[in-house]
Amino acid sequence: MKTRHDHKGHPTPIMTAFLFSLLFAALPMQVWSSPLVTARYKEMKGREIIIAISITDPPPSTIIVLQNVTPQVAVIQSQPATKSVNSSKGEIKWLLSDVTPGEFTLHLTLERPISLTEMSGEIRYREPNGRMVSKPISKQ
Amino acid sequence: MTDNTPANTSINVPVAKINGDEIRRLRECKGLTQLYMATVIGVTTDTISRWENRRYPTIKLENAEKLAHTLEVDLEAILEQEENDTPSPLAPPEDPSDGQVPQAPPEPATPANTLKRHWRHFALLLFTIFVVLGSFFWWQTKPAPMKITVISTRILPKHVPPGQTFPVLITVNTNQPPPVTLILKENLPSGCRIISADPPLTTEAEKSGAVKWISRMDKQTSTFAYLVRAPNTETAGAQLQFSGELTVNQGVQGQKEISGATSLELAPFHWADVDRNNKIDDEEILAVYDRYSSMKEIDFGRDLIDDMWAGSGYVWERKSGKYVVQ
Repeated sequence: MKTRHDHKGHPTPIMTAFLFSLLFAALPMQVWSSPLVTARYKEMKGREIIIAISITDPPPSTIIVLQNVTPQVAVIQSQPATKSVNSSKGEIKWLLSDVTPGEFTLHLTLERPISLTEMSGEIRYREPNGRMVSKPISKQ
Repeated sequence: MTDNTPANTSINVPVAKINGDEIRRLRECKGLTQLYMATVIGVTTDTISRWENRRYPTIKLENAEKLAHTLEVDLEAILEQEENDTPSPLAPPEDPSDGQVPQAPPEPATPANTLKRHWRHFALLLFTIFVVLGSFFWWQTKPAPMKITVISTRILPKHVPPGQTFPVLITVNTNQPPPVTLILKENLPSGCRIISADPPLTTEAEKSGAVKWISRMDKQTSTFAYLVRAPNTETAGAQLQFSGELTVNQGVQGQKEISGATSLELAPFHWADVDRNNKIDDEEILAVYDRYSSMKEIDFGRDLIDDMWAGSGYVWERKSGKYVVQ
């Protein structure tokens, strides 16, 4: 029987492409449909903090955003509203439900400016398999 | 010059190639019948006829000599004048009635002939294997008739304090294209009372605790949700047992009994506090939202759970029958 191999016995490009197609087709659909959520500080000037959250399709049902600031610094304004503020620990939480794919921005105004080194944040959500994912909010 | 001498086959049976037309002409000139010829030579009249009609041009030399003798001519007179001077050495007598029929000699066993014969066998073997394997793979890959199945699964919390409400989900999955009409029957544990349901219940028997939905699925996955209040009993650790069954059209396969969780425990912890540490942590609240956020028509206490998560914890007060968020 004639096979699609060159004279050195290596698979031809067509055969290679066919084998790769089979490999990708065999991957579980869940791999392709896992939500991907990333967050970064879009702006950090003075008292203003803007966090941009990028959400792929399909989105997770809920995203938790956790922002750590200097303790005892009060939140003046937040859009959307915070779910909890623990001033003594400097911990601010949002619970974002019914999120849609795309970019979502979160605006926070603090009582006073804080330094970048005192600031950190994290997002948390669940993958379709039930595993919780935690990712830091990027300062890049 | 034509060589019309009798030929010998490779198996030493002398044969001669006769001229049927000449034999007929000589016989008719002498006024002899085929019967006479047959009787003298010792063959049948059919054989004589076949010789004359050239149906058996090669006959045994012995019979050719008898034939020539009967016609009173030399043997050469009745032999075929061949264009090719060389008579075929392989030509055997072809008349079955001409005595014992010698078999055709086998082909000489040269390397080329051996290779040719083996190649034929190999090709035949390959073809047979191809047909058998092809049939096998066709049989393996031919689409089987689709079995229509319906599977229902119940999702229950692990525990609930006495007298408190908790949500129950029953998911129904089918591979049958919608719509699918079904009857879902759920037997609530003794002392439990249903608060609300989505979709609304079709019937509810308060005494027996049996509730029913008669519903039409417009998608291949449907969720039946309801909120139940647990009995307000002092028996800590008591198990509440659930059971139920699903009935669909005839011809649909699947389990009749609803699978999944069947019991939950009466315990002084909120149903969303899976690890029973009096806190709703991030993982627990995400699980609640994932699982129950589709229950738009049922108030499963989302605000309370949010407060518990946002706060540092909660306690269940048995006396007041309430959660106190800390």
